[in-house]
Amino acid sequence: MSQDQTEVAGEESGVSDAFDDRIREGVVVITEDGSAALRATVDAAASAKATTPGMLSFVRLAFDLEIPDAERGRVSGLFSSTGAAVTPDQRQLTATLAVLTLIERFSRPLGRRTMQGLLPDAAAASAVIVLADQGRAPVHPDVLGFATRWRAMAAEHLRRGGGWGGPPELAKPAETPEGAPAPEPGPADIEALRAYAGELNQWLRQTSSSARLLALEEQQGLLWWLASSERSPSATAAVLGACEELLGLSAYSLGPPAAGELLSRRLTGYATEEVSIADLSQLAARTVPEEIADLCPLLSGGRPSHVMTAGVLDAARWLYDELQLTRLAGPAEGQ
Amino acid sequence: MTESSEPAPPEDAPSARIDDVLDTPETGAEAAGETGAEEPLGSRATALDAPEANALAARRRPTVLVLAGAVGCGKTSVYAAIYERLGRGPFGGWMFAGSRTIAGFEQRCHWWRTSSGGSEPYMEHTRANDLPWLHIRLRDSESREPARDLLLGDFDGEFFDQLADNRMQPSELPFLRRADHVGLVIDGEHIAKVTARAAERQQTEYLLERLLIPDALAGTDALSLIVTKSDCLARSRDAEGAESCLAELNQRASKLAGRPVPLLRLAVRSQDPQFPLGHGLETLLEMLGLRPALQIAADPEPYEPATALGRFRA
Repeated sequence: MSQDQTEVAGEESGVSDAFDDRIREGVVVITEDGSAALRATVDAAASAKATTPGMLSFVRLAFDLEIPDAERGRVSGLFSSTGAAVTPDQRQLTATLAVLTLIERFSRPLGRRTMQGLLPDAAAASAVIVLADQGRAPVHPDVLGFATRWRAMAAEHLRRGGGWGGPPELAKPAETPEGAPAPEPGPADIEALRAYAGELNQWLRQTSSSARLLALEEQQGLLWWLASSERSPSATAAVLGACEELLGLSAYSLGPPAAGELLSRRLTGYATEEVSIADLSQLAARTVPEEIADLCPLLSGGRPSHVMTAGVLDAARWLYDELQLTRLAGPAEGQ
Repeated sequence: MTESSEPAPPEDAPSARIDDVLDTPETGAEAAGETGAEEPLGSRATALDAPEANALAARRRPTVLVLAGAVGCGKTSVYAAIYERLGRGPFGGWMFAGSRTIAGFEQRCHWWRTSSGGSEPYMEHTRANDLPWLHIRLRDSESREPARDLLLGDFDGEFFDQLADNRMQPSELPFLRRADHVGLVIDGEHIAKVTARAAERQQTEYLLERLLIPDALAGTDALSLIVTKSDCLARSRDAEGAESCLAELNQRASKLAGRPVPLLRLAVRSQDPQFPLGHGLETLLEMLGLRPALQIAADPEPYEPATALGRFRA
């Protein structure tokens, strides 16, 4: 093989690597060194301090939407400062790196982050899902799976304590032959008992934490909501009502886990119906923060022209996702 | 690797650069005549190397087509024919909207043309040290959609011979995994000849098996079979046997891929008047247009909900 084509073919990184497969949306041939440099770039960009507007810019780039030139320059500068030489006119590579940065952030453990700490990522995940609801395709499809998974994980993370079962079990003492006196407890038995007391104490603290109590209260509210029935004048009104009620019952601005399933259950009676997107948009229209108006066409009245009608359940998820994004990125939360 | 900075033009160079005209909806002849003259001769003009292909892909996502086949099977002729046919005006719903490698196409087409003095069409063999990537920008004839870039991988057939013979691994040819479309080229002239058929068939089967090992391609969707010089099949003394051989190869490919693999017949530079210039290319361009991108998706690790609410299923 010649030197030229050895350069092309001979020093490549592993072909089945997910990162390399994704970065191929922005390059044609990638060497091991190039792959490592881009990994470092993505890692650094994902580790930089995140803000909600900044994360929403990544989302817009990931879907190849327009952003102001200054913001595009800022993002290119961020990538360039961390290794890759990216210029604002390299739209495809910028979009690919934005997708990879989002995936990297959505892959990281949630640690001990509170709602405030989760907010930029929550807004980004919600925005990715909202854009996918609208039928828009990201530069790489993996970002949707990671956003959906992150949102479900974060919703549970905030409600941790909600999943605790009964108290920890105390290990049974060794059985003694019938009639024989029970052996005197030794130091090991006392230590085991002490450890158990610690575990019990931990369980008590967690099960009675404010997060758990809030989660239980929310869960109870949602169950009553699901059990109750109220006939709406139309499928469109039912969709809007269900979405607003579900968010109203949610203990956190990042809605409950399995929100889509809850909506499906609530709207079972309308499942076979279709709603007009124009009608739904008219009914649901409200003032949306300017920063996200382009991402929320249903609420801001700028519905995409290519979608005329949608099934009730799809329309409900779409509207719910927009309402949630509005809460997450609104002035009270997103700043 | 992904730098897009290009060398500054000399001071006496014409002010219009090829990039400036790539998006203009001009006719193929105009583009070929005007921009081709401005592009300086040299490596950048004949084809793109890896960094240049990356720079192009960093701006707009190109559709990557790689034809895989033995030396002399007609890969380069197919690429040249796409350029030559588009240069005569719109066809198959597409029109030429520019190229960064016009000199490379012209070079490849040179021996084809009667003006070159040859008694019959001839295509120079692509060598291993030739730059591999040819570029064409297409626009739909009615200019309704944004222009689309094609990157055509013109690699030395020796690579594919080595791949078929197991002297090279698919991981050593990573452009195969990047390719949105990989056309396994079957030499129709060899299939038409009874004496050469068995060897061509065997070589095709070997290459097919190697291309379909896990992770070699972006997916089995990428693969198609492309029969070049298909005009020879019509003239074959054993046309029935040739057709039967192709049908069996197609069946074998579909079985290995687990899905129907399309088989395209091209006769891009036939001297038979029944096969006009670029015969069959419409189908190839239609295939490229129908699915411009093949993306490799990988789901995140499955997530087990920890709460009763998280496990709720409607």
